[in-house]
Amino acid sequence: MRLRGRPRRHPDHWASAHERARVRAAERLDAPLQADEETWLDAHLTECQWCRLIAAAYATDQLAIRRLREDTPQPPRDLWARTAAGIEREAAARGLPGRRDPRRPAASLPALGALSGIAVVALVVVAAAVSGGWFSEVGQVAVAPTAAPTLASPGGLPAATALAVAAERVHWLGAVENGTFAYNVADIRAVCQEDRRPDCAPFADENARRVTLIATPRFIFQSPIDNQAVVVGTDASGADAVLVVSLPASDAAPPQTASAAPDASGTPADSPVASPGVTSAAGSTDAPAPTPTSASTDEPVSTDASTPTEAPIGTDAPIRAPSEVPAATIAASPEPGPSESSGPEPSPGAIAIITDVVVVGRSASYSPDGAWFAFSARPSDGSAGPDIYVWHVGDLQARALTTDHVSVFASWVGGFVLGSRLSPDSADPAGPTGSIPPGEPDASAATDGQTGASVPLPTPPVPRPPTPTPPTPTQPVPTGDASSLADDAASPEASPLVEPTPILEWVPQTFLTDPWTGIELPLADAEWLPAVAPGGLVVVAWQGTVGLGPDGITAAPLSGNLVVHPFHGPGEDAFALSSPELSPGSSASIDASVLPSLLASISPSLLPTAVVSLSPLPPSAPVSPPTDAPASPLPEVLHDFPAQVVAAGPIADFDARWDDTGSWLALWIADPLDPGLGRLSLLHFDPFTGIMDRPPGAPQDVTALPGFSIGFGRLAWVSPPGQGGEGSRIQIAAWTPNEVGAIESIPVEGAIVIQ
Amino acid sequence: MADASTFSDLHEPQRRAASMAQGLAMSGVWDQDQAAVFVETLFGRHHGEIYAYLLRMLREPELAADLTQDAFIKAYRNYDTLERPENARAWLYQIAHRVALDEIRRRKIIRFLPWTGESPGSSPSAERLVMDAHLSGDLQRALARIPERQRAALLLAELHDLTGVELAAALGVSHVAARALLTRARENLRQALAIERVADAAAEAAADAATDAVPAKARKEPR
Repeated sequence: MRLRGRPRRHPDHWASAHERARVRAAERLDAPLQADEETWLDAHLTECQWCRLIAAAYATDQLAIRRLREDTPQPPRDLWARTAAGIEREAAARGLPGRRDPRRPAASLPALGALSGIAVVALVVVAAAVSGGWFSEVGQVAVAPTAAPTLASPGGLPAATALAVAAERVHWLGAVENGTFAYNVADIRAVCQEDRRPDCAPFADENARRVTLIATPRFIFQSPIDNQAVVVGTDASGADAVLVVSLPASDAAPPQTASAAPDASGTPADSPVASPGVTSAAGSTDAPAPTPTSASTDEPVSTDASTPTEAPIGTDAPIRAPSEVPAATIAASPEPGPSESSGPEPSPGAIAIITDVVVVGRSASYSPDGAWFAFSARPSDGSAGPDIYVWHVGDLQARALTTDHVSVFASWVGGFVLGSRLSPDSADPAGPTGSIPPGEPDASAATDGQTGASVPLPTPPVPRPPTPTPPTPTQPVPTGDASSLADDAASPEASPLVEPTPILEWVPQTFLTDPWTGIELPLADAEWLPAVAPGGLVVVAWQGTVGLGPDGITAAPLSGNLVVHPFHGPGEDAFALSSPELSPGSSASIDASVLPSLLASISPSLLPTAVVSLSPLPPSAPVSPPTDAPASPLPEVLHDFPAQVVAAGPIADFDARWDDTGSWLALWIADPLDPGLGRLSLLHFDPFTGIMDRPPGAPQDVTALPGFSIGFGRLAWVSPPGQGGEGSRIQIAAWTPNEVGAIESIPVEGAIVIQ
Repeated sequence: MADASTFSDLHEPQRRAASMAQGLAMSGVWDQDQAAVFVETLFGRHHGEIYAYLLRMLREPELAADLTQDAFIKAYRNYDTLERPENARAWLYQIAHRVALDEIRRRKIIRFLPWTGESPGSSPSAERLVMDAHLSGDLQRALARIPERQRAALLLAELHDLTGVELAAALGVSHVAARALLTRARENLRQALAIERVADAAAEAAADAATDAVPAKARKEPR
């Protein structure tokens, strides 16, 4: 939970500096402080040990409260019957008839799905481009057929059977010309069923808006709560750029008023009951859906927002161009940081939060509450390995959360960062593949004023993180040279290790970190890049060893399997073991010596009784077929279930992410020969049985470019460019609880799906 | 985790998902039938978390179940007061919160009346004892020590993932007041935890002393 707003009290009104520090330390857990208060608090905490203790206690208490989620009580099974009976009585008291059998369980996802299935329409497609403005609130998209189906239906294609879905919008960019992109949003109301996809007409980016970026984007991550996005790309000089851009707010566009007339090819016979599942589920008879009309048909599009397409068809309300939108907090004070002087000037409304780095991996993301953005990066000169960086909304710069140069961001677990690092003791010196010289903890890193003490790790060759001070140019480490992670620590100026080491193999470590305080808790599972599903019950992770990637600096999976298994978080042992490794972060500078007792003071009853340490199943472990819906209306979610291998190694790289419900997993596995391509699959996880399966129609090993987007009810990705110079296509798979359908766009040059 | 709704409602994006389903029943016109469908949908998605919230507030399973039922019936009764379906979750928490405070207030009143006998909340029931055992721990007891509105703020913010706006709506206070409530709650919880730990230490010391005393007594008995 994050609260925003100015503090009510003026700093001068505090009874004492300690009271002010306590209040601010508590407030910082809920919302970012103003910059001056943040600075003051950090300074005070440095001086006042008692206040540090209290601040640490707040953070520890917060963690302990959140752990109560693992002990969620189960309501009585007859609760719905009792409630429904009460509603019946209430209706009777009003003189109205009750409407249904109170013993029937409440509608849940499976029920809605069944009802959706009943009412599926008979017409083609539909992915309506932009009907509610830029980055508008996806949660407000009703499944009711109010969207404007702007799908092109060339030549009156035969109508495919449409699958009505309720899905989050899909946002994407397409290249128009140098530095200019076409920004698109599509509502997904219906897709084509698997057996009718050949008949499915592609949708067009007819409502695209022109946007300009100072970097060529590779990945774009949208905040889950507002109009902010982080662009990871390449600037004009060829260096990596990480920009925060402020885009028009979702309420910039008036509310969608029904929508335009259905696609010419797609209405009558095919969609008389345009979202039948919904209407049935809602019990609102079979009345036809409201006639779609689009506000945009009457209101001109803002002149500032030129559209790549000449005639916006079926557009919605006027959409303000980015420049019209009030700048977000980060755009309001775009003063360049120390390391920005040599970089490109951020465009208005954009700010470079880090420079002189290479962004590593594909797991960057906003926190669920949208307050943080985490990513992994290493110095662009190749002088060190990667660290985890976090950027707090409102800050000018990202900051390093780790300084060991062997850590990468994996995923968010609530408000905590889950990271992976190479274990300091895991290199197998006796192994056939090579060894890591035992690095010494870097004293300079431990005393770095910017980042605080660091965890003793094998090879911190460069003590300083790349920001805010640009790293001193050093001799670049030859690609593939393991010395960057090895024995340069003792003598930074020493020549890179010359002796070639064919393969180095590490066992990874996983840890949980609080982005505010930097407090770390090691996890028992030796995994790489675990992606925890929302809800925190299940995780997909690489179980095995990791080696050096093609750049010789960053790590990549080596031998093992990609496994789905229960996530139990840090166990009691982890707390006990964490004491010597606690690494205070830069923001709080908490004295590590006081933390063990604080952590130990967390009641053991609040911690899991055991740490799950699952071994991967054999690669041949079958993926179970879909199971029927549980007979019980209120089945129990499983906390423990067998681990399941979803991809057997070796694999070069992967990107695994869950949808918002934690029930759908998208898995992209890089092509070993061309990591710029990969195979994408969609799997369903049943929290009641613990079984992974692939529902009918779900994509399986489809070729995809890196950087997919999975959200509520849909998965979007970009297919590689086609033959004859044809551009890529935006591919969308959307689902009901029982079925997965798909739809694709017309060819789009330089397509990038916004994650 | 109790059920699908609990599982799927822990995070903000899932609230968006929930609001989509709620939108199914919200076509803009109040209708008895729609109200029932709407509440049924709400129940399917949120009853687990509402029950959990009420249980954590009141610590009595059967009472929490009754109040959960009451909350949904009130949601049905006041269905037409919900202006935006995407706010349904916060609106539901607001109802549940008021139901909880009403019950706590009622129990306080009953407790001070000398001749009403035992009320459901005036003495620990067997279920309560089981629940206490199940949820034993410093934190639970410390949470029970802090004022109920602060407890509610902490639970809703940290455990039920309500956003700032939702929290303010659920508590029926302004944004600033909700923030202040949370800040005070954190400090009071810290102090309450310290008290609990001191009490634990004292209890352990007493238990150790009693254990030491038993053999000495046993040695005297043969005489």
